[in-house]
Amino acid sequence: MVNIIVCIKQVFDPEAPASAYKIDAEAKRVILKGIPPVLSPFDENALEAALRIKDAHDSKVTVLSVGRNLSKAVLMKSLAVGADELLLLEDGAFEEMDSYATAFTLASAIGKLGGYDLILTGREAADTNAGTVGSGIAEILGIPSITIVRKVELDDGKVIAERVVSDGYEVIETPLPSLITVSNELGELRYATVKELVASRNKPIMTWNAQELGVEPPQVRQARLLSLFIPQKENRCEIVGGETAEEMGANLALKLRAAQIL
Amino acid sequence: MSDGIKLDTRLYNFTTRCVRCAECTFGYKDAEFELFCPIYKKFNFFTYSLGGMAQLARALHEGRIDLTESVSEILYKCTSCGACAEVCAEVDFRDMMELQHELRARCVEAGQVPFTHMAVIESLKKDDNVMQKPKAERGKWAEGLGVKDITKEKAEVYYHAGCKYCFDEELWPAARSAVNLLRRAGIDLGIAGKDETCCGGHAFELGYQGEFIKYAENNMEMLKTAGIKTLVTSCADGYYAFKVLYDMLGKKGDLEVLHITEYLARLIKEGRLKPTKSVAMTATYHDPCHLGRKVEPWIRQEGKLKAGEIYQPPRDLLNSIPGLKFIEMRRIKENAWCCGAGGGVIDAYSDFALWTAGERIEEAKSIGAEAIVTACPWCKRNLNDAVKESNGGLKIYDIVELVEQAL
Amino acid sequence: MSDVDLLYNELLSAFPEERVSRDQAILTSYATDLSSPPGVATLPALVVLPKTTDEVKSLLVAANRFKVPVVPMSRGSNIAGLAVPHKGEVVVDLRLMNKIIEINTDAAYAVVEPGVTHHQLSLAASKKGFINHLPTATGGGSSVANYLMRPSGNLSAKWDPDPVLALEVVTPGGDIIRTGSASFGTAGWRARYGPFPDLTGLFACSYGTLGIVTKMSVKLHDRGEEERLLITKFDSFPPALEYMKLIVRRNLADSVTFWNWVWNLFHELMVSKSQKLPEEMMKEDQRTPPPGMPFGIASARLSGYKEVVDAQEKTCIRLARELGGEHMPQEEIKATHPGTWAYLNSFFVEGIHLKPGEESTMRAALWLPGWLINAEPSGILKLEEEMWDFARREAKPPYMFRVLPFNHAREFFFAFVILITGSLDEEKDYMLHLRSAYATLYHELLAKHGAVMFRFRRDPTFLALTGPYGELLRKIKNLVDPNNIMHPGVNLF
Ligand SMILES: Cc1cc2nc3c(=O)[nH]c(=O)nc-3n(C[C@H](O)[C@H](O)[C@H](O)COP(=O)(O)OP(=O)(O)OC[C@H]3O[C@@H](n4cnc5c(N)ncnc54)[C@H](O)[C@@H]3O)c2cc1C
Repeated sequence: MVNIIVCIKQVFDPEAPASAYKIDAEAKRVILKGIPPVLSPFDENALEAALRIKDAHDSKVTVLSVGRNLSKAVLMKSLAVGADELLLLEDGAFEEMDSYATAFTLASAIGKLGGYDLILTGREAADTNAGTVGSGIAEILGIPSITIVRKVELDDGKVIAERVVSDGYEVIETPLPSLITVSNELGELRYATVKELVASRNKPIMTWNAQELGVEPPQVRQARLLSLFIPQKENRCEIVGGETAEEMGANLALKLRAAQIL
Repeated sequence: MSDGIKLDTRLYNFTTRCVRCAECTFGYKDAEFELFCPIYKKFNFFTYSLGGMAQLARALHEGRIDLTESVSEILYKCTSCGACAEVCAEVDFRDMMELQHELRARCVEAGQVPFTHMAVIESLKKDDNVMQKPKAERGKWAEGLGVKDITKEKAEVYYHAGCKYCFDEELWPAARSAVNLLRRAGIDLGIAGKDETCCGGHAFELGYQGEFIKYAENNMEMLKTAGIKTLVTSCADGYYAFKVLYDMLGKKGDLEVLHITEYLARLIKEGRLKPTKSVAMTATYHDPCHLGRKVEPWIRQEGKLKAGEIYQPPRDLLNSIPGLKFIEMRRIKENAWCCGAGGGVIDAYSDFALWTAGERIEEAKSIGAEAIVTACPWCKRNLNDAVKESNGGLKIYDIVELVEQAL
Repeated sequence: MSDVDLLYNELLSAFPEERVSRDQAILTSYATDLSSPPGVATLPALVVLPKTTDEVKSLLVAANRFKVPVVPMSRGSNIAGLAVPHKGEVVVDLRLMNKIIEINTDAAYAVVEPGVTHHQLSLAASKKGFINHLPTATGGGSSVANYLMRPSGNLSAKWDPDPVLALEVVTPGGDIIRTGSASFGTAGWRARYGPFPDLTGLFACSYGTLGIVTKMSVKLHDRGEEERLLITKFDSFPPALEYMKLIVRRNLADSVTFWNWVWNLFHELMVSKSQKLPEEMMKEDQRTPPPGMPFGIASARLSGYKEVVDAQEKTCIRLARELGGEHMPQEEIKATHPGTWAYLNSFFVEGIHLKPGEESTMRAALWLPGWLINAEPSGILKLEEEMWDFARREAKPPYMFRVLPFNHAREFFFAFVILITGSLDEEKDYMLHLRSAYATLYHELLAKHGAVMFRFRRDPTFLALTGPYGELLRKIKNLVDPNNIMHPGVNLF
């Protein structure tokens, strides 16, 4: 049986309209009225990758999430679509951790769970877009990792992954256990029917706090939030002149070159 | 795990000013003080009343209780019909609605919502409707009507069908009747067919205010592009959304929003439609909350929103139909007993929704009605399902169908 | 397992699950009322919703066995913390015992269960041409619980202010006792007294400490062919009090109440649609009314045969004039005080609580019941002076008072109410300060003016002041409730 762990971050719905966002600059907090937490989209892709493996091989999929104020109702979606169990790392100490602390905490939990073959994460979280936690976990655990993957297959104790690059993809093979960060090209997470949602309520959910996990997240922050603001976007429109179409085209090209776009 | 909730001072004041007088569970004298809060009548504990919820909200604010699954369940079992706030002497209707909106938004932020609502919202995000149906089927209800498409042609008046009418095939005839009647009266009418999207009102009532804003912005953008000044809809929820919620958000502008009953009553009065055929039956009318209480109180706020309840137009329509004997139930207008579908209860607690509808059906039967006529697709669907459940005995009509029959 | 767990398990076999709860979310709503300062609350251990006397009995027997205390609650509208838990009790919520068992038009009484509201009872009585004793309280409150605590408001002059006849009570020992004529199975519910000492009176003003009342017969009064509201205005309190005294002594009205100008402005809020208190109510000197406004008005309900009512009205107007007051004809008060008129007319003439909602009423402020006290007329005059003193010393405007006479002018009720306009968060200290000021005041006023608290204020030192009377009561309490499970938090004993 293949033991798969999928790390999923709970984020505020990144598709919420811009006008619903407000910033409390003083408290350095985003205020989101009536915006739900969701599974971070790339993490959903990672879960889909796990489920596809499960479709083909006898596997157990454990979903792992760390944070404070985690919503069971939201994370239970992972159980409804086919994950086997959910482990929540929940503690006041897990609030607003930076990438390093997050990777450290997740890696500790994975180490404690033990017996894993494959760890899947999204390529980056939808709120910070930092994209470092996955590789960080691999580093801490001392296992190989492949990032930004669009296809994962298992073959006889090896994993074969297609890694997205700007002009195509690379095929990479590593032995298990290893870690893979998944990109959206892999495909959307499958839907859960209401029946599956209801059934998921009987699947196991474990919760560990810092004490149960047995580690405190590192006290020294590797990253600090200095300020938080909504960037002011300015749109300027300039009409490029010229007598003829050719001339206009040439002028436009010159402008673009001046702006270092061409 | 979830933290408590901090309310703003105004809403907190409201929770502390509840004197536990228990008026919130009764109708007025006119309705013989019959109970008129469905959740209270069904579940009985004080908690299931405006007063009880005020105490609960107070405890959330004071940090005496967390926003747990049980708390969320209590908040979401409420049909959000507004009956309680009609009678409460201590709190303004708007404050009560705002408190509810606030608490539900907080539930959403905490991910503490019924999972059925999550499914509704997920499909809304994907398919632009709250019926969990594929987007591509949205325009089907209007096939063969040959009505203008406002995304392609200019039209004076826009007919918004709404998710329920678009995707519930049993309800199509009422939406088609509406279009036919308006065109018959010579109205230059257009629809958006498959490009129509949800009004967002349902998302708002479930607490998904962000999602609501998205739809409000999209819809107003589409209407602006199409140059629409007047919107008419058969959907009571839609009417409430466009008329009240969009205004609250500051997006409505000067869009004229009409409910189909208002419009038809106006056209009949002007002689542009003449009901002549007899529709023989004894019928009563069920007031949808979204045409009554939920829009009515806004009119009291001077200088603020001006909405306005729709109590009289549907009654005028029924009275204009030859052969139809119109009789009133006891709990009507601002005292109306909710059909049970509101506030997302139909999605999350369908048994309770049916029970509530069953109570209404009993009331209609007790006055000798053969049919309940209503003007909201959600009410119709829920009442109809409840009639089926109780083996019939009574018919449920959409008012527009009856008007068409009479022409 | 704790005692509460044991009780809970036992209750689950006697009650359907949906009528017993230990869900924290459900319990939380029962923890606070208007008198609870912010953040201060005790959760009940359980809430139970019995439907029958037998269910109440099985509940009390079980609670007694496990020695888990209970708080009876009919509708919970007393606003003074009398029906909220104080030490994790079981709340026995009686709202589902809401049947009007009988309206007896022959002997003019009704038999009701504790969950029956004033609304329900007055409507049912009214349909048969009767009126019940309707306090100026909420229509959503229970008639039974209200009458047990003595109602203040309507019908307190011409009719005996005590509307209670016979009772059915369940004791913690599990006995179901009927009092008055009902004590004899065949005599019906019509009379308070039989040939024995009166036990109805034992349970009145017991605030749930001796047993749970499951039925009550209450007096009804003939509405009369004519019902009328008579308003007279006065420029100070003493002549108004004299006017009320004469009216009740000479049986000229069903009831009469005096309201100072601040109250009347408060009533005005009901039609003003305002969410703010009128400016005038906030002025420092509340003794002097704003220009053009009388110091206060007396409202009297007259009913009976038309000729008699005409004559009574004429006489009342004459009395008022002789005392320096003045009649306010309907048109005048409707024009100057439409809200006051609407409120008083609905209460005193229709006998139905004014439809709230459409008219905003009290939204503008949190109203904190101040002292509710009764005394002889001479004592009441002094209470007015005390009130102004107290207000100057301890309170911020607005405050208001109202007075109504009970029982043939030997007992007058004086209510002093303070409105808190700010948020409870900010006014917590003020609220607590007033509370402790009231507590000492009750003792002071009793000593100085013979004024007695109208409803019990959870101050256990009062019973001690009654000497042997209190001791006898204590003995009775021990006999009836040896484990002290009946509402111990109310601190009566
Ligand atoms: C806005 C407002 C204004 C008011 N003004 C007035 C007024 O002018 N005059 C007036 O008289 N009242 C007034 N009240 C008080 C209130 O309405 C009454 O006291 C109320 O009717 C009592 O009924 P209840 O069901 O609310 O009692 P609860 O609050 O449930 O109980 C009151 C007390 O009686 C006990 N009890 C209740 N039921 C039983 C029972 N069946 N057996 C034994 N003990 C029991 C409780 O333990 C508690 O100690 C006002 C209340 C409000 C909210």
